Amino acid sequence: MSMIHKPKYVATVSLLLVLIFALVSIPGLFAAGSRAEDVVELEFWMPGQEPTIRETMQRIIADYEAANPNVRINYTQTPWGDYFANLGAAIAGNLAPDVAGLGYGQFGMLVQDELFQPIPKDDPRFQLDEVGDFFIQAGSFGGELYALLYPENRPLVWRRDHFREAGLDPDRPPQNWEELREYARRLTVYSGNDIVRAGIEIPFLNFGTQIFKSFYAMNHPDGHFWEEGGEPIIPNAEAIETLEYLVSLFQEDRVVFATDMQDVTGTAFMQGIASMAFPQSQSLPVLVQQNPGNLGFAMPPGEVDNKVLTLGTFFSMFRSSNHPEEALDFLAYLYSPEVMWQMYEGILFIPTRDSLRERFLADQDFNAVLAQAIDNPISYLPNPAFGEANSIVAQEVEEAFFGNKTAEQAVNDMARRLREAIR
Amino acid sequence: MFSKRQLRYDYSGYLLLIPNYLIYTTFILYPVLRVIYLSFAQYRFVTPPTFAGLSNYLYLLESDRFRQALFNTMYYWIGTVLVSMALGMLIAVVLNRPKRGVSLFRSIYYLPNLLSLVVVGIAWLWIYNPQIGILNSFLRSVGWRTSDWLRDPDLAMTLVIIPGIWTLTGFNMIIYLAGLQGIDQSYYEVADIEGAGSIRKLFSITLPLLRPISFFVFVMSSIRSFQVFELIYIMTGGGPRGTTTTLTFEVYQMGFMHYQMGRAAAASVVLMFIVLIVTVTNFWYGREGFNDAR
Repeated sequence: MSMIHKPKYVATVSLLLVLIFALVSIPGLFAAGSRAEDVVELEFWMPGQEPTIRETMQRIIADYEAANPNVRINYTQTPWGDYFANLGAAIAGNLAPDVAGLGYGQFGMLVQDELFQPIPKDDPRFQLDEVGDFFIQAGSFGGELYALLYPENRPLVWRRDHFREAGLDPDRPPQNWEELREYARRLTVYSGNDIVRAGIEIPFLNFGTQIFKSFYAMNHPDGHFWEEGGEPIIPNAEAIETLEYLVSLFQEDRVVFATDMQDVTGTAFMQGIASMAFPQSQSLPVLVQQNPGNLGFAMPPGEVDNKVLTLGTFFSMFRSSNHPEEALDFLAYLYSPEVMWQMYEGILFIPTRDSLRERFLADQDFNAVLAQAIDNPISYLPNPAFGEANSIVAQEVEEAFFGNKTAEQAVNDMARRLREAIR
Repeated sequence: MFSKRQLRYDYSGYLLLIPNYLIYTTFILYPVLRVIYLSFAQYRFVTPPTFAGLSNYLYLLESDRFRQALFNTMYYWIGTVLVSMALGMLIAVVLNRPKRGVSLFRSIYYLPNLLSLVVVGIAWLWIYNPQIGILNSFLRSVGWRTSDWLRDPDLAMTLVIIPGIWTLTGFNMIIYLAGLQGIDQSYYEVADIEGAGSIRKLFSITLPLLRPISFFVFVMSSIRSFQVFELIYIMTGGGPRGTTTTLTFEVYQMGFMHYQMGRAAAASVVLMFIVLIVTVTNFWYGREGFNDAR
């Protein structure tokens, strides 16, 4: 071999060695044989960005692993913004976790695809007899239970100091929509023509579906936009009336800022520039910490009903799991009374078991309202086009708020587009 | 015929190309072909894709939301590219002088281009904050009207374009600066002898000779503009009333929020063709410009 070509061969061989080394270093690629045979590994995914979720779940998992030395739980936590995409990609790649937390939308979209393992309702490990019907129904589809809900809800919260400033009784929240409008008018502070402080926060931008749903549920005996499967129940007079009412708060009364509930700079109520709001129950401890002794809590002022929007995180087990028995056992553990209490303390999910009720009521002042709200819940029914349906409602709500459509046109278009989405 | 020695030489050369082709095929060619295939399929992630003909493209044709996203993308593209090119060139001309402190200013102007667009988005979100933002604070101090800027459907896109220009200008300036430094000084010396002024030199020497550079800058800025996502995601979430929803944001919504991967793939193919048209047009005119400049 010529000496001139030697460096090229050396370079080629080196490059190949580097490539082989790089491939071998990819975690898990050649590691299948290295697992201990007697230890079952379960993949457990959880959505959410808060470090409190990670800390709580890791504690819960450590306790489970200590009691079950033959099971190892691989915990993966992903922020909500990426969770949807990651879970979809994992399902597409046959890499779905064994057990996973799911948002309302994800569960509603995926449950019809038979991805989840049914949960035996009479399995004594789940103790479902002390859980309300709503929570069993929320995780069910076609009569089968597929998921267990850890809920959060949205009560009415107000600033007592703002009430005093406006000459309102800080212990008496508005009792109906007209009072809510009147209170909001008196609470709104203007500087010239600008609103400096909004009477009420109605976050209708980008995620307007939730606030519209909250009010619609107070005004409609059923409170759903669509049936199970996605066929729209709207348009109806109550939906139009609700949207008209909300829009009038923004356009005519001018007691509302245009806000987005997921604004990275925080909600208007959190910033102290709104006097009433319907915040997520999980944010209440932070709000109380910011405003000690200064917040009032009540059920939303229902017109027809006092239902409260109740969402949260579902826990479900994938049918594709290679260890269905262990996954089912872990799922039962996640819903046990002890873990439910830990989840409340760490992540502020509201306990749904009767046996935890007294303890829950005694723990925080505002828990009485949360408990009342959890007895009057409303949420979304499964819809295969949930993501799109949610966007459609939000878009039409914005069209009405910005005056591009009347409330009636927006609700009619909403219904038409919802129908098209499930076709 | 190749000699044994020649074959050996060629073989080792191709071997060295393998990693490159492997990476290109795996991470570029295959995904592009897969996206084109999925654009003709109905695919919801959870079930295998099924052939759906042109239905995804027909959906896009009928979709008001997609048309609005297309319009918004064009608006963002024209707004950011034209202004950032003009500003980039102006700053480059000013900074192309051997004066004290010029390097510092070059770095300062280039700095925004190095920032993550997420950071840029959050920073500008605070600037526009209606209560405590610097913009409204300034307007209040001079007694002018304040507003909740990003929540105004008529203004939102223009206000997202501004940070877009802010980040692109530095990049364009550096490329123009490189172009300016490549211009032979003898042209200017001759112009000086002929008595040409600064403006005349700018229009008769600098700008014509920068034409190939301008086409390069135009294509690079255009591609970045068409791909804008982070600014929209952070600053407006596509609202208000969809007035800041661009094609990439709509692709994200359709694919990852609605699990409509077929539609998302079709929208991506449309975006790819738009970028392709801009790039091919640039190569065509750019080559002419390069020949003229020579």
